[in-house]
Amino acid sequence: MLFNSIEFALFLPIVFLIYWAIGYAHINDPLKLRLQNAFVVLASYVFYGWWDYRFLILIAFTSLCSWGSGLLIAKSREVRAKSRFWLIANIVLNLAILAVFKYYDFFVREFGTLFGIFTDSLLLKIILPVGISFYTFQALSYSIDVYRKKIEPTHDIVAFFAYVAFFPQLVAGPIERATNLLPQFQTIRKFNYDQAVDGMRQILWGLFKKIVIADNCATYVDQVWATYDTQTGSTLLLAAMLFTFQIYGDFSGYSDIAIGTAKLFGIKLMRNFNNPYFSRDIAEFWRRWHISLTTWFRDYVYIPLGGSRVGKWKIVRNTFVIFLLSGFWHGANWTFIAWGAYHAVLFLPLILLGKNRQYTGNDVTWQDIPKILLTFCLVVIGWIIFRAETITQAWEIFGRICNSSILSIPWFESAKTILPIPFILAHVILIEWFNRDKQHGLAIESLNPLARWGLYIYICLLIIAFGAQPETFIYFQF
Amino acid sequence: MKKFIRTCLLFAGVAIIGAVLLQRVVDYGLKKMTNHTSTQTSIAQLLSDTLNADILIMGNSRALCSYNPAIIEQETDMRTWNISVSGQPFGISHFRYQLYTQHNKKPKLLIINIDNNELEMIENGFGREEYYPYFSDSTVRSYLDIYGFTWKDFYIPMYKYFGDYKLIGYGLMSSVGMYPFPAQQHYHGFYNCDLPFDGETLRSVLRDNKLDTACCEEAAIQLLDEFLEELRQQHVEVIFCYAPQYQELYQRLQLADCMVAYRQLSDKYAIPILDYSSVPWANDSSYFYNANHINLLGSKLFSTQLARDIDSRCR
Repeated sequence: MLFNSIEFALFLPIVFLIYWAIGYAHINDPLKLRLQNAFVVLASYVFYGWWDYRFLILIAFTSLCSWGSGLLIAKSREVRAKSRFWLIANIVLNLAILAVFKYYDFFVREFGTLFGIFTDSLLLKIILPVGISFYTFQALSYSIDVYRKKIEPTHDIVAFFAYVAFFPQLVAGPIERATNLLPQFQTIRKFNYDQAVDGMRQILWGLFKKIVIADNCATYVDQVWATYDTQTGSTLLLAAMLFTFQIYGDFSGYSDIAIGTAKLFGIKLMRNFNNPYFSRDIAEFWRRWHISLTTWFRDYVYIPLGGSRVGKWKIVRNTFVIFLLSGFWHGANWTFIAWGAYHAVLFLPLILLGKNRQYTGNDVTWQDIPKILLTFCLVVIGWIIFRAETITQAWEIFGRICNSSILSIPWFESAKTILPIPFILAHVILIEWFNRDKQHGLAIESLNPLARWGLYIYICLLIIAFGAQPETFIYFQF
Repeated sequence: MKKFIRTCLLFAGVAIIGAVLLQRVVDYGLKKMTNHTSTQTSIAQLLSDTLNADILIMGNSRALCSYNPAIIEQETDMRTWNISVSGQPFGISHFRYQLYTQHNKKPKLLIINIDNNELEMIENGFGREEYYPYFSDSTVRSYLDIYGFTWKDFYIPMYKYFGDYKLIGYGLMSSVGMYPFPAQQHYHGFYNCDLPFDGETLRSVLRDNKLDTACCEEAAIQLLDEFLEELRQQHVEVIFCYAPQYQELYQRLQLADCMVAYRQLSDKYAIPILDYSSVPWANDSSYFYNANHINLLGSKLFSTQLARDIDSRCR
């Protein structure tokens, strides 16, 4: 079920009402909690099963294994080797599932081609289950945190299943940590008016970014990319810039809807985006882009490898490891690995010179605009690699951008497609700029009610007038 | 909780009422506009009782610019109207004829344009926005399946206009009397195209090799068959007419299948086929504005010739 669908518009209020009807029922608290969590699991499985019910068994299996491993790890804490065994067993099992569904065909193709034994019959050609990378990483974080004694294992299987499958963030994150989300499923939730209203605002803002920004940009980007070999450099550069906004609108829009929806259920999810295109260098960009994945790799890969408190060569190694893994997490394609490597190359000088943390606050000002623009340009280059289907294609696109055709007028199929884009982009840039110290673009609780409602209605009108044909969310494929 | 639900309901109420009102204003404005779509005879005109033609012409864009009602009227002294629509095959022409007959008298003579693109049902979405303001009209509604509209278009306010900022803008402007386009004079639905020949259409058709097959769908033939039966029962005289087509293009078309279908229907219902596809001047590009369409000069020649040929038949 897509967030930007009529089905979800009907599903959400029904689930909301039943959930809080249970929450306000005259029954004892433990039963209430269990019923509410059970209902969250049911609703989440319906939400996911709407896309393909066959893969529900995969989520249930992942949840069961991680829940069981948490108990086994805790039970064998006295014998470190034993608890490590259960941790590794769970990690291997989960990564094996991920590998089969996501990476098997890639490795078979690459190694098979390398050794000259590749045939099409070796491929599994399985559909990639939506959100598999997201919920696998979320489940893994639980067993690792139990092993590290950051969290006690839960005996409540229903709460744990709700933690893994919580529908707002099930298919495209944020990738939650057990330390943040699981305790929320173990305590009674109280309805909070201000939180719920803020959730609604965040949903509206997320819908705007997805339907108006991302889907409009997608119309142009898809057309150009499909015919990249006949396009001029200026057209390809424009498409790359629009893809930069498309992927931001798409993914951060999804995250906003997810976080906003969770707020309606009294659940606080972690922030996933913090105005990444206002970053002043690449290090800051990575603190603001897909925060839940970046911090996941930081906490579970980078720091265990020694982080930046090791020798220079090891810093180089660790940096490349997390960026390459981060790229590979996105999909089984060399383009994602190259994209990770590109960012590692940009990040390395900063960390080696000790300048990777010079911008840590939300204190961006107008004077920072040159740095912001430079960082933005570097990010756009990265997105070309990311969006390309092959490395060769990315290379060809760079070649075209660098030739004299960059000076030509970009191609537009029709004025109707391209005309509204500058207008709507101006909205998102200005609104997010003026609210850059807030949790999301539409955190406008301090405005007077008339102005607030006026802005809601204005955004609804923009969605109606400038909404593009619905596209699926890019990050579903990851 | 109650406060939150109240606030949400209030917002939903404001949004729905606002959307309904906005839709009404846009619908109203678009109904007033007759020149923003691909047709010269608007739905508003079809639904009015002002057409009442003796000779009615139906077809696609080729029909639109070929059959000049002014000339046919002059020659035959019979009120003539061209209800053709650009870019649409027979399925849509049939629908427009139904709209016409709901409010106007039956024609004495119906000229059905035939060519390589008419025998189709496929909905390509082209021109569908013309029907947006008329969803409340039951006749229009009953035919809209052909355009692929869904319940969302009919029942969710403003859903049908989703993303169409231009149309919304036109509707709003027109509703307050500001017409975004200058009024065009289309005499009885004729597309007056006074343009010199543009060879690009021919070049692109030849370059992209789009000439493999003429469109000839079984469903369209079936519908035409039923339609002709209906017309026979209503005693409406029918003529199949192939308007001139630039010969360099025409000779490359593979028309055999669709012409067989037309001939079979012609035999079944005793309908004459007037074939002007290869009139002597069809080799001369000065009578065409592209390979598929004749210009004003060509339409004068063709309509005069056609009018004289049908004059005796009409009387």
